[in-house]
Order: sequence, then structure tokens, then C-alpha cells
Amino acid sequence: VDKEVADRSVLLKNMLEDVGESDKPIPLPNVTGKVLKKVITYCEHHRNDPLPQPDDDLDDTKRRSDDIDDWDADFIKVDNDQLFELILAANYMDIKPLLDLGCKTVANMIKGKTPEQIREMFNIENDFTPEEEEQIRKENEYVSLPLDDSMMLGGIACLLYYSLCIANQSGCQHYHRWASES
Amino acid sequence: MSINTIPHELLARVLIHLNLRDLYHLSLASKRLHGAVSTDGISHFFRRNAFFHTPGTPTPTPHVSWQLLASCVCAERNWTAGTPTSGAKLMSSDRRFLPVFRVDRGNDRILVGCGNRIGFVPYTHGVGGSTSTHNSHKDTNEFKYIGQIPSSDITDILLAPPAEDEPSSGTVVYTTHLDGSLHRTLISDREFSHAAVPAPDTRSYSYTNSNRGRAPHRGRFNSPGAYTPRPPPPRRLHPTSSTRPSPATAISITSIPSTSTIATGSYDGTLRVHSSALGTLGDFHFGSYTSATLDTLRTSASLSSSSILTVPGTSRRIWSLATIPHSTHIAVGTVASQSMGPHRDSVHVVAVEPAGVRLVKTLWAHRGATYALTTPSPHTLTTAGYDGLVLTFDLRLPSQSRPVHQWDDIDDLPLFSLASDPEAQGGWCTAVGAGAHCVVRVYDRRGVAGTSAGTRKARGFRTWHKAPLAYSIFAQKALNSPVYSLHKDVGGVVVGVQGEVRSVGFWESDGVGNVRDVRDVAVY
Repeated sequence: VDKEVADRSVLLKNMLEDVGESDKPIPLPNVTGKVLKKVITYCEHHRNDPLPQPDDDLDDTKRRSDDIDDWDADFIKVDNDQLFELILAANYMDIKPLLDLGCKTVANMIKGKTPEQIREMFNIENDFTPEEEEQIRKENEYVSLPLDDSMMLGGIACLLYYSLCIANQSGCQHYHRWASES
Repeated sequence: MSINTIPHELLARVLIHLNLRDLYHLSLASKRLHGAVSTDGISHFFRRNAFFHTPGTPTPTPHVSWQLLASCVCAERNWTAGTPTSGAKLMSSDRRFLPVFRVDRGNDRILVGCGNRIGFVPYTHGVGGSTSTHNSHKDTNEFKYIGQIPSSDITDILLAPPAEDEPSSGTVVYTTHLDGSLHRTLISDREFSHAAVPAPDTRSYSYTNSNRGRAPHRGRFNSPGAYTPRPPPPRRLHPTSSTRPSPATAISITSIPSTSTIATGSYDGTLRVHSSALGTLGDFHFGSYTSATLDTLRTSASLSSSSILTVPGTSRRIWSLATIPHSTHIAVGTVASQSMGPHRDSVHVVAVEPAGVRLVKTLWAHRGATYALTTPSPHTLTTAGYDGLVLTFDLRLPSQSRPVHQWDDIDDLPLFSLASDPEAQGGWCTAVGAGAHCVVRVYDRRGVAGTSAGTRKARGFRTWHKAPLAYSIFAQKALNSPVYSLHKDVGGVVVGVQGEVRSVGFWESDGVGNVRDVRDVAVY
């Protein structure tokens, strides 16, 4: 693999800097061959992208999940097992753009799904008792109102206001009043 | 491998892309996911949407309107996204929308900035002030508008003596503004004496009343009381010198008297230094920000490595500045603009020298934002922050030293403002303004507490620290407002809360004794 490609991975980059130029292969014990092949494909395609800044986690653009370009979207069309292995590998090899891509893809899969659909999609066993499930639903009923965007804002504002009411020690009558009005 | 089995930190990375509803659905899928959503997902969501990172959170009142609250939230969002400062939106969520003031001890006046107007009220208590006006000369205590500065809203005020070629009886007022400009205005005694009491503003402020301030329509659609004549426009003040607006709001200002230097801190994390002693300025004409002349030393250019004040992505705002007495050093308190986060917002000490601005040291600081700084003595720096801590540093200790005192707010309120009476004048109190209920805490720096109410185990410390809390003052009982600005001297406290400036005096007391009287200074 070219150095330029290997440099996409911070792990490999640091290793190469530490050991210097050498022909010896670098062992990557936590990554299977199939996944590594996929990772290399990704790195080769993105070899000319600017390297991510170490400290831009706070950047708002990172939190959008709809800015995946076509090649990436095509690249990430894999089965669930492989997707999570890719995420793990990206995390292990410290390839931030790939990690973000994987996480965004998982987030996009979750978006708009009901809990049952999520369970089915990811093969998750429901380990709640019916009482626990009811309790969580009760705690979160403000979220499960039918929401369009403006209502969403109201919901957020409601949460915010509710917490402020608690802070105020003025009880939650305002919250209830609002909830009953809506 | 599935979402249920991947490590927690990776799961957290997925959660940051989800909205509240998806988080809720995910939390119903399994116990582990529920745990992750409850611990990380929800908190990230709120941090990301920037509700808790600034003091601009709208203060709830019993008759809160949801439209208003929502519009505040929207304004907050725009502001967070770094929209250039343009008028009203910023104001509605900005702390400095609320009155800022400085006390002119020499002339016993409190100069208040509200909007783009400057007003004053006599300051009649404290050392050197007379207490006889209390309740007897009510009219002398009235708030008067001097005039308005032709710029956007004032974010901070600084008072200075006039220059040699100017009439010595006036007061020089430096003001920073929302549009990033800095103005220097000379207010003469004549202007003080011509200041007018503002006409009572009885206009209706409802959004639906489009008829505001105009002649009424005749007919039944005109609701009674919708029209009252506009009060006469305030006089225009003419700044003696001004800087051009800059893209980022300037929010704090301080001066170094020994070198005639003014420093302003702004939202884009830049500390700008304007020097009047470097020749090119002459009559206090500030240089242009973009020119590379000596009069404007841009820290971004002068700080070579680890430039503290220009963090990439402008994620720091310089919220507070304080000059360290008898030196050319300035303490700089920063606030992260994006997130509260677990990181610390450092306090930096920079030296302002003819050659440029140099970072001297960085202090161990608050978890969250540093909102206020004060220097009671040349070697002491006290800071207050969102985490409810008051930290006192010994500036002779090396960089990253621990604070020598740490006082924890007894109600865990965030702290917005800070003032201390200087040791040189025999003061020993530090007053701290809290983020709610108009609470001012007064600490006795000598450590002999009036009560033991502040004694508790301070966070991060293994031993019990005594917070020498002397007492708490509710400056305005009927209002749940943060204390935005604060002045403390031996005679009393002046408190700027939402829409009001209040003065709390310690008449006939020893300064740390009983509060005998509270009176309004100015109510808008």
C-alpha cells in the first residue's frame, strides 16, 4: 500500500513515523482481511482529501448525517455485520472520516423507524419487561406526540422549560398546563 | 456484531446524529440502548442544540409565551451558528442586552448603557458618598438619559479621565457595541446637567399591534390605549473617535492606564489592543482593524504558536477581561461558543507590550465557561464561571497551578458576574452575581465566615474547604433574573439585573454586617 494511502489511518501514520521506512509488514491483529480490503478501498479513493483536524468535533457540519456523497453511499452498502466491523476497524485504525461515515449510516438506518423495526433490523432481543417498557413510554410521552418541525421545536422548548421549572422549584404546573393545551 | 454490542463510545458517535424522537425509539429497543440514550444521547442532543451553553437561556416567567420562547430558541440557534451580529436577534438572547454599567467613583455617578443609549444616576452611598440623600431627595436618584451613541447596542462600558487637551471636568466613556465597533465619547459636565429623565414608555409592545407609535385610525378597530405620543428622541452623542465595525461583536473592554491602552475582547476570539500612546494615534483615532500599523496589535498575528485567542472554528469567545493592577498584563476569560462539554475553559494572562501581545500563562480554570474576572490585588485573580465556582489564583505561581481558594456556590447556581473591593482601599469582600433569582453572594476574602452556610465539600477537592460566605442578597425578590453586572465597594453593591439596576447599601454597618436597606437606583 502507498504511504499516502496508509497515512489516512492515524494509527498507521504514527506507527510509520515511529519505526521509519521499512519493508516489514505492520500487523493489524483486530482487523480481518475482508474488512481491511474494504478499508483500503476507502483510503485509496480518499487519498487526496485533506486530513481531518484533530479537534473539530464541535464543528456543526460533522453532525449532519445527510451529507454522504454518492461514492461513499455506494461504498457503505454492505450487510450489517460488515458495517459494524468497518466501524470498529475505522475506530481501531483511527480513520475519522470512515468512522463518521459508518456512524452516519447507522444513524440514517435508525431514523424514522419504530422500536420494533429497529429491533428487527439489528436483530436485537427485547429484554424489557412490559412494565419497564410502559414506564419508559410514560417518561417520554412528550416525544411521541405527532410531530412536525414546529411541534418538534415546541417539544424541545417544553423540555427546556420543564427543566427550568424544576430548577425554579416552582413545580411543573406550567408544563402540565402546556401539555393539556396542546 | 450489532448495534447492541458495539462499544459505548462508538454508540455515542451514532447517537449524535439522531433527533429526540429517534433517540426515544432507539431507547425502547433494548436495555443497553436505553442506558446509552439516557446517559449520552439526550445530553448530547441538548448540548448540540445549544440550550445550556450560554447565559442567554430565556428566563421563564409565570406567563411565558411559547411563541416567544420558541423565537428565543431560534435566535439562540442563529447566534450559535455564527451569524453576523445583526440587531434584534442577538439581543434577545444576549446577556448584554441587559443593562451594563460602570460606577464613576470620582464623580459619584453610575453610568448605565441600555440599548445604544447612555444614562446615569447619582451614586450616593459607599465610601465618600453621602447617605443623606437616602429617601429625602428622591428626584436626585432618578435615572437620566444623556444621549445615544450612533451605533448598535452597547455591550460594555469603560470610564477614563479626559485627555490633557480636553476639558478636565468631563468623563470619557469607551463603549463596545454589538457591531464590533469601539467608540470613545467625551461627556462634559454640561451634558450631564442637561440629561433628561426619560418619558414613561407606555406603548404597547404586543406583536400584533402594528399601529404602535403612529396616529390612530379612527374607527372601532383601534383599541383604546394603543396610541400614545412617542417620547422625544434622545440626544445624539458625538464620539471623539470610533473604530469601524468588525465582523464579530466586541463584548468586553478593559484598559491599561499606564500605557494608555484599551483592549477589547470579541466573539471571534480576538483580543484587540488599541493604543493611544504609540504616536500614530494622535487624537485618539483608532486605527483600522485591517491595517498593519502599530496602533492595532492583533493577537492572531503576534502570537506565534498555540495562539490562544484564535482557536480554529472560532469556538472561543472572549467574554471577560480584567487588567492586573500595576502591570501591563490582562487576564482573559473565554467561553466556548459551541458546547458546554466537559473541557475546561482556560483563563489566560497576556502581556501587552509595544512589540505585540504575548501569552504569559494559562491558568487551571472552570469546567465550562468563565464569565467574570476581577483582580482585587496585583497578585490575585478571582474568576467565576458557569460551574458555580469562584476560584482565586495567585498570579506568582507558575502556569496551570491550582487555585489557592475554591468556593462553591451553595445552591450550585451558575455565576455570571464578579466584583471585589480593592485591597488597597481596605476592602475584603468579593461579591458574586448568580445566574438566577437576582442572587448576589458576598464572600469574606479573609476567610472568617459570617455564617458557615458555604461550608461544603468543594468538587474536585478531597478536603473540606470553607467557603467564607458572608451572606446572600436577593437584589430583587420579584424577579428571576441573572445578575448581569455587578459593582462592589466597601459601601455597598450595585446590581444590574434584567431591566433594572439596583443598589444595595450597607448603611450604618461594618460592610460585612446586616444589610440595612435596599433601594432602586434605576428601573427602566
